[in-house]
Amino acid sequence: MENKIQELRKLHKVTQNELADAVDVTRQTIISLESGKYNASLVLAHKIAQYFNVTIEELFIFDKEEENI
Amino acid sequence: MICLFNEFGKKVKSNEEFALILQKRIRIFYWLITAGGITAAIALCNELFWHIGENSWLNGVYTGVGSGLIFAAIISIIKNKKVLKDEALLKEERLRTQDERNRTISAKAMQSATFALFILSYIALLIGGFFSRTIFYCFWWIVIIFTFSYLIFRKYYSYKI
Repeated sequence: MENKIQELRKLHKVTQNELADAVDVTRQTIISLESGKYNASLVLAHKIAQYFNVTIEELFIFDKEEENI
Repeated sequence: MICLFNEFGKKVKSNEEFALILQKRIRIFYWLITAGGITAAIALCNELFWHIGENSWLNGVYTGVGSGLIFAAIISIIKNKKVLKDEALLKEERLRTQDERNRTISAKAMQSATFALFILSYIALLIGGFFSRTIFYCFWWIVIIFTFSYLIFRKYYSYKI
């Protein structure tokens, strides 16, 4: 799933390590999230959205057919 | 048994809570040392007094397994005690074990390994039956126990989740 995590992280000048620490995951998870290889759980998605002060819909791009009704 | 799995899989939010989990794990590893000791003791008793089965081979296996358990448990206890003493290491270990991606990877790996075990046991059952009824029944019971365990745990988690 595409997302704007990397974009927002660079905008806020935050390292992957800092973001990982803030949302209680490993740096490898942040790397996998940014590359789209791993889909975050609802709780993790919410935590990251809260961290950047955006909504989940602004953070993650739901443009695939199976992601929409 | 479920409590044991839950203890290892419990999600915690702070280093203090995770430290409690590590302390429980250390207690479990002490039990593993006991189990390893008992296993090695059985081999020794068999060698000296009981003389059951193919002595040297079985005694060697039991001694090896028992020693391995003791050694692995001691290493784990030392490692966990080292983590408990260092806040940075404690946080790193907490994130590593509690990280959702790592948990997903472990769950998927376990699922795939279990499936592989089931299929290979079934193949071994079919082939082994040509050579030995004992081998056939060993793998037969692995397949049966796996199937029933799967059904029971599926039912359990259907109620739980």
